Amino acid sequence: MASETISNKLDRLGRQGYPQSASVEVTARCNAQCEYCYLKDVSFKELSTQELCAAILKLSDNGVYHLHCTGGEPFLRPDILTVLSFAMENGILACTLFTNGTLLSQEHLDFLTQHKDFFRTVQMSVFSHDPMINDSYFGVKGALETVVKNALFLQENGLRAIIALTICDFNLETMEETRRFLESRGLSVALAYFKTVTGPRLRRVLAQSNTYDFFKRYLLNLRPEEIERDKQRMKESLAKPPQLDAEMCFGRWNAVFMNAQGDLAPCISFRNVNLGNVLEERSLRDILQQAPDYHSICSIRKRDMKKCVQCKFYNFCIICLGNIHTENNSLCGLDDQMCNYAQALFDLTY
Amino acid sequence: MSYSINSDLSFKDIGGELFIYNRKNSTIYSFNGTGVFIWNGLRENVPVDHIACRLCEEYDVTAAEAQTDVSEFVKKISDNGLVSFAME
Repeated sequence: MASETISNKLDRLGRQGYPQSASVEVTARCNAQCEYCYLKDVSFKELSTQELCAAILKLSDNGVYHLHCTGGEPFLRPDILTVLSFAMENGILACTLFTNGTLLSQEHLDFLTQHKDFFRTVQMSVFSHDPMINDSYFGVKGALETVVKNALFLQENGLRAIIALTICDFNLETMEETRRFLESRGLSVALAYFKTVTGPRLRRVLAQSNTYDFFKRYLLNLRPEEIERDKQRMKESLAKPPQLDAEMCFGRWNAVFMNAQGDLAPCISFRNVNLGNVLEERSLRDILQQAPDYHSICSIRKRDMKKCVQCKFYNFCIICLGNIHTENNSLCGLDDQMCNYAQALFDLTY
Repeated sequence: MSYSINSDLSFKDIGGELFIYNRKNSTIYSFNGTGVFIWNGLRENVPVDHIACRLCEEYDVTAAEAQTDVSEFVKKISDNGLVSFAME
């Protein structure tokens, strides 16, 4: 009998209701005011320390070993170190931490470096190398200086710090300069250009940041090797016959998302799906397995995307089902960002 | 041959199956069939030769086959840094 590979095994267990990674929104509150953020309505009661620990224990007992700790801003919670210590002591083996990087105290930094094997990556945010632009978009005075200082401290002490540079229309033309500014200080930069769109407010805010023109300008601002890599992927995808059975995105079965109230969804992009609450008496496996939405979302394949089947970019696109579902309240629709991105890249390639 | 299990490893039960996670390089491992059997023996500090004997008893394999299985497995986990072996 052929041996089952590790990824097949994890995939099989995921399909049986044992996801191995969880994105946990420990709070929806944030000290920053980034316009593109999908979290704005935070007028609800978030989980207490005890509830959050109980939720993490339930996730861990059900097989989750990798926690993606996100917010809001996690370090707004005064109990964040208690919660992370609890996770560490209760079967969570690795954590990727998403923070805007402005609220880390020396105590926080020391805690992270003391547990550098646990914290796989700490991701922080920067929008511009120009402090005026950066800090005014952030809405936090001194943000750039603080984030760079904290990221460097972590990196110098053995952690992997990544700066997420979210590209919007206002920083598109300066993204290369900002990258060079950060890289010259020894920091790694990840470009973020797709965004989670939730409702009319964000559609308005991002009106200029998701268009064909935006993505064309974005691609023209990439480094030569990056644009060549993307063009190559486009060419390869067009040369293949349609991969009808391809699944929509990676890891849907292997991951789960929990918001600050404990409500569960397949991933962070599904802002209006509620599979159940983690604190219900049912096991996590039962909650997932008994939720009809979970099965329909996780089982969908590319051939089911009726509007995409005839499109030449069929093989190329990695469609965000979460964005489609959040926008349309169903899985019938298009991921406009991906459509615009693919068309812009195609036009630059041919 | 004495051995010690790497102290950077953590263990995780996912759906009743054992996974091994190396905290130093963030890699996850899992074993199939006889691999689980041999690994459990190692975790109980059973001498390698005895594990091969146990394998003979548990599975319908000859002593030579069991010895080969154990040797190959031991080499693989040693190459992956899960266990360190020292010749006595």
